[in-house]
Amino acid sequence: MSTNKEKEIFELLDRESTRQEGFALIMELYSKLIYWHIRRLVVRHEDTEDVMQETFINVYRSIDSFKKESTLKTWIYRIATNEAIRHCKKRRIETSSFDESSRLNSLFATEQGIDYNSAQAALQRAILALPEKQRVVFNLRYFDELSYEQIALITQSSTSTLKTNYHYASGRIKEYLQNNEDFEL
Amino acid sequence: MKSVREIEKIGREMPYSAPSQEFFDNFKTEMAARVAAQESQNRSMPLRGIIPMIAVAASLLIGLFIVDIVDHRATKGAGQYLGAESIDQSIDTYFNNLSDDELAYLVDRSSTQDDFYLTLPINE
Repeated sequence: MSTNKEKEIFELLDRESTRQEGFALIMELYSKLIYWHIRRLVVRHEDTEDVMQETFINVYRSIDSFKKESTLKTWIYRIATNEAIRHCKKRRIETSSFDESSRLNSLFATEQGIDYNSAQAALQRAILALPEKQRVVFNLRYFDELSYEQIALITQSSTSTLKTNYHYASGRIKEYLQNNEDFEL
Repeated sequence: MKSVREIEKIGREMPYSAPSQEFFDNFKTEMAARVAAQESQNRSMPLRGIIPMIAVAASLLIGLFIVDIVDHRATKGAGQYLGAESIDQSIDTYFNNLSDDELAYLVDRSSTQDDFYLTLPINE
């Protein structure tokens, strides 16, 4: 299931002398992808950085137990998703927020450098209003363009459940944009 | 209200300002340093493993010694000096051994004392 690049990474990780080089290659390949995946879930840049650190530390610590049943990329996405969800739960408790969508939308409203009248901003508001599972599935499918099989490995769900989640998410987003937003494309 | 837009038309661009390449470079450097630190920790692991083991063994031995002392103290002290039951028994025995006169004297003395305190002027 591994790509050539991933084979190269594992060869580097196998030797103690090149282990750090292997990890550097993981960072090189996946840090930007993972940054955006986490950012879409936690909203703030500072939180994204924290979650990203936790993710790559976890990757480093557990790489020896990686069974290669999925690609390395999928496995890292899984760790990142779990870390991002864990982070959101922690923040929700700290801020005593009952409604996660409202909390995330408040964070989004205070982010710097966003054109709030843009279609992209409207889409993000709609995505942040989704329930957590639908939000994760929609992001992975729409922005990261992963297959349902890959998302199934990341979220530990069946592909039929994921298709249903994506269908509901798309419907809700369209409805949200229709009712709440006024923007130019 | 504008007409309904299909999601696909919006595209995949994010509304957030993207972090600079410098951010990713710094992140990689920081993580590389953390990984290197972790590696050197792992290399010194055998020694690091022995020290806590010795510490745990020592504290177990000390713990056993203390438990032994506490056990002895508890059996000797509880019944003879500190037990509430033994104090009650001692008081009962004391009062049972008093003659009627002695008992009457004590009751009389205790009521006199109450009166004595009750008749004291408040501000003196």
